Amino acid sequence: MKNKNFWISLSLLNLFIVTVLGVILRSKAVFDLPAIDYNHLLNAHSHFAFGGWVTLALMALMVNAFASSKGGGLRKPYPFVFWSIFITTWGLLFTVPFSGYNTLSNYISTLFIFATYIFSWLFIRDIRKAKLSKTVILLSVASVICLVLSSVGPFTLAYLFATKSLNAVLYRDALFSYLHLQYNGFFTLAVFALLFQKIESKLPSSAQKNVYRFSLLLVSSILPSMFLSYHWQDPGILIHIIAYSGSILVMLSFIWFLFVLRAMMQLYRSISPIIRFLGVLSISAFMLKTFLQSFTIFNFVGNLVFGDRPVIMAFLHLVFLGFVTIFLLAYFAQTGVLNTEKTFTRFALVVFTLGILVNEALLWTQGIDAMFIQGSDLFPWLLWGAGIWLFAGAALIGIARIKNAPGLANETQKGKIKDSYSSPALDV
Amino acid sequence: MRSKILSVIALSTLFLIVKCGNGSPPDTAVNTSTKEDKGIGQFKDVNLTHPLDEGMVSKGEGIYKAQCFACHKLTTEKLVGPGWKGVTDRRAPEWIMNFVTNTNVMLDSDLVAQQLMVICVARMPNQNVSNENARNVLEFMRKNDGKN
Repeated sequence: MKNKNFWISLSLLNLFIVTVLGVILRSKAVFDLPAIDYNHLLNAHSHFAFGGWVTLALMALMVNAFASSKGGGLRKPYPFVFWSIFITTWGLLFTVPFSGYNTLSNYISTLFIFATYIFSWLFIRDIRKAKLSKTVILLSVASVICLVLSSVGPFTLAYLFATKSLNAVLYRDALFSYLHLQYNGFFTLAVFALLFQKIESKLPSSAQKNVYRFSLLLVSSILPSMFLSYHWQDPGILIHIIAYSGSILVMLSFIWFLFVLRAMMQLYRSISPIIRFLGVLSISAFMLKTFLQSFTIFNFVGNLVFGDRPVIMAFLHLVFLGFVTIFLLAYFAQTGVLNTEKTFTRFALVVFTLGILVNEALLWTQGIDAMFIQGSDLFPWLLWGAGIWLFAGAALIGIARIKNAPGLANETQKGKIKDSYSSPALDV
Repeated sequence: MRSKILSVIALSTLFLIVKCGNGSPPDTAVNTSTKEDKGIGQFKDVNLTHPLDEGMVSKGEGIYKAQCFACHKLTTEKLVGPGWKGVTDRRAPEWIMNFVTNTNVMLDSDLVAQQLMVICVARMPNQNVSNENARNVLEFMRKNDGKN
């Protein structure tokens, strides 16, 4: 692939598909759509969001930023891996909604997982040769290790479905372990690896130490905090101790993040308003996520949360859309993949981001209402509207990317990614 | 060349791993279960009143809107879980109330509950519904099924 932003464009196309599936899911709650199996489509929606959008985008950015060849292009085997990711996620898109998990979709899903293994192996091999700070290496290597570990979840679930034994504890543990290692592991660590690679050198050396300590705390919290998902089922004392230490490590990383945040504020003035807006939202979502996560240590919170579907949905979308997706969009904007000098692009970004906020506000309201045994007929309709809003926003971002694409081809030929920290042109 | 080797390795490993065949779940118990099946839990004998208690119906509807409708529609259409239309014809009132209040035990041990879980590919979480509210929800289900 000559144009290394090709994969970013495909991932944005996939983001759009994710919102289409989201709209159909939300429609099913308010209209009669008997032909559609909700849970099959839900699985397709989440598979595609994880694989087609975030995994593909993060991998492409990580390779671009950390492991691209001297000429700036992709090293040889990566396009093969990215094609495998792309084709398998599209394969699941065309099988899972109709038949759920059957032999074919399990097969494709396994291929997808193998593609992530190959990526991880290549990436760890290459990153050792790259000139990067120890912070970035720590975060990105830990990130892909989490990606590999997370695959235990789907394999366990596949086993459970194949044997038709929906063992309660194992089912939930497999699901939550997978989600944890993807969200708090792979996604979160990759996001910070990408962020710190961009900004670390611009920070004073005292702040760089805090960045490293924060990263160390964050990485060391991943495995113990996974036990927060098991803890509330009241297992043995050992699980409790590990869960408590996980909660404390998450809280400590939260506190250290405040130091990092203070240092990052110095860079605030040098970035354009739209990226400030996205950055502030993404970091707020991360902080809220971290805060909430450490609080599931309390049993009553766990009990409230794990049975309350709107709250689970709100939390999943907070991390997925609020933190990771907005970060990715900010990164695209900062590196010129999305050209924010154009009013249309800024408009698209604002529409989509406001859609995320509205969606979150609705889900939290619905979830908290449910805790107090309150409800309203309006929620399914409002959520349907929010789904269409997000769909429109993703479509606008896709159009903005298509409009911007020719200019980018020239840029990448020079082997440079625009870094507009030093570009005053972006300040409106 | 390298990518070819990689793909061969990936494919051959796959054939070793993926060999599970998923047939359609045997749903006999779901269809043939009688209204004598009372499920597992404290409710052995629920007294149904005629006509419906409208006060209970409206309380049940409140619970439904707060805690149930994110997953259950009032038609026959399955969302996350089965649609509620006709549920009072398919299941005994005791089964329904036991399922609503004793969800985890039912999903672990009751045959019909387990098969519904396989059909829906989802496990209903415990909703902490009180006995009184479970009865209100049942009354609302009866209303939804056109009972009087």
